[in-house]
Amino acid sequence: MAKGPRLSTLSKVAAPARGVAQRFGLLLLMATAVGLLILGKTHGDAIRQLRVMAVEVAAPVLEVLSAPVISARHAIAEIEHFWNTSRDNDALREQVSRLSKWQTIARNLEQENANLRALLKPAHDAAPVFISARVIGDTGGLFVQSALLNAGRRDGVEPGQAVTTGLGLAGRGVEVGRRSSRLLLLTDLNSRVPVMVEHSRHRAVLAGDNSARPRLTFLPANAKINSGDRVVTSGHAGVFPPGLPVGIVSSVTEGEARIQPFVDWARLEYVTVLRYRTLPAGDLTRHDDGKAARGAGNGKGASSGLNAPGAR
Amino acid sequence: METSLAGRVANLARACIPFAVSLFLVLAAMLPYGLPKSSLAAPVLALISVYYWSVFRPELMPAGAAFLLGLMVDVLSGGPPGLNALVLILVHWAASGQRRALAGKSFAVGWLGYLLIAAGAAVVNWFFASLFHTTAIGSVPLIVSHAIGTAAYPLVAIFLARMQPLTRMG
Repeated sequence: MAKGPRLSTLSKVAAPARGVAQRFGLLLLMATAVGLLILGKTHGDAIRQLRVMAVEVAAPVLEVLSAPVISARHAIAEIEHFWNTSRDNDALREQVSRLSKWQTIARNLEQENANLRALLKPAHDAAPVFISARVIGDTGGLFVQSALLNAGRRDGVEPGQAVTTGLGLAGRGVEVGRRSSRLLLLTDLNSRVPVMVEHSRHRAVLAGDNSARPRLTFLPANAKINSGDRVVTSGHAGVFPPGLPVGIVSSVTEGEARIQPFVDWARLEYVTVLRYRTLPAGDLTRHDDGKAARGAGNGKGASSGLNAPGAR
Repeated sequence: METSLAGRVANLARACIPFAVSLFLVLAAMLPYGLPKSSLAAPVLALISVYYWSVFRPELMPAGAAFLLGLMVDVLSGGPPGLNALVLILVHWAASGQRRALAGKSFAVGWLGYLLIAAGAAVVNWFFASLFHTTAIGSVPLIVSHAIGTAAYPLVAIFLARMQPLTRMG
């Protein structure tokens, strides 16, 4: 019993330097961690760059480790399909009879649309280019909703591009590395997507708050929203193509409407990254940046770059 | 001069086992299982691992290793950088400081110790995350995550106890 305290005093006498060094090391590491937090807040871009580099290293490991997990998921899905065959058959037969009516309507509308377009000659929306990617990491942390994809800059992925599944919009690409990228889900705290209520054409911004059902914000005051209304991307800001299905209004309370995204988060496996731009924004910014760089030199980024042509 | 070069390399590899196992647990939790919230297990698995090794083999889980592990969780999850690093250093400090009370006791005592330290870690995590986002952050994911951790502790601790003999130096 008396051995413990005596030993500790002995060690305190024998190795005071070591104890001090250890404590100092601990404090130094804590200070580093807090420093990183502050840097993350003040120099977000630099930290993001470092994060992209680290994820690039981890991506191949995750890709290898995720392969058996994906195989197991497929095997389970296979068994499930087999189990449900008869019920699925009935449901599909019912769906076919329902959709064949829609097909007739769609064909008529398609023809009518083509005729009207030929008359009006409207400007065409740029057709998006598709990049397929596999989800290699479900990395949603405590306060972030994100996933890692095995496609990056070498595949044509750029930050900000829309990422969809067959069902609807999943989010957008952020932090793009050479062969991997991070998908920021619609539900993340930092996710903002310009959307539109399909029926009433009211515009809004879909804002994630880490809950399963993101919120519609910036709705016009007179907007009438009903639960069950479909919400699609509006195409404003020119990054997302217009008309991508996003979700269904699930609840409308006083001053707040929430939507249930179409995407089945549990089955996020393969996704499509859409390369789409209505404006040659890249060329414009590059041009402006060049002017800003050649200008006075104390320019504050994009704003002075944009002012430069007007001032000259 | 008994230890040969091969022996020293083997000992080095043995010394790396706690960190490697912890890293493996974190990566394994982040694989796309298609289960809702499965990735919330990653930070608590790191926490359990740092707690376990800090109690039973503190010399093989130094504060620097806990820091690196936390940084990996932060980088991969895309969360506030340094947050989990800070939390895991504190967990290491608390667990290695209380190892007299925890090591060699019954399994239940180990579990209780984990619960107390994890509760403290959750509070620190929430506080710094809220400070980082300058808003009181929703605590539900944190609670879910720690519920997973508390339930998973026995299994993970048994797994780590199986790994522990491998760290015995030759």
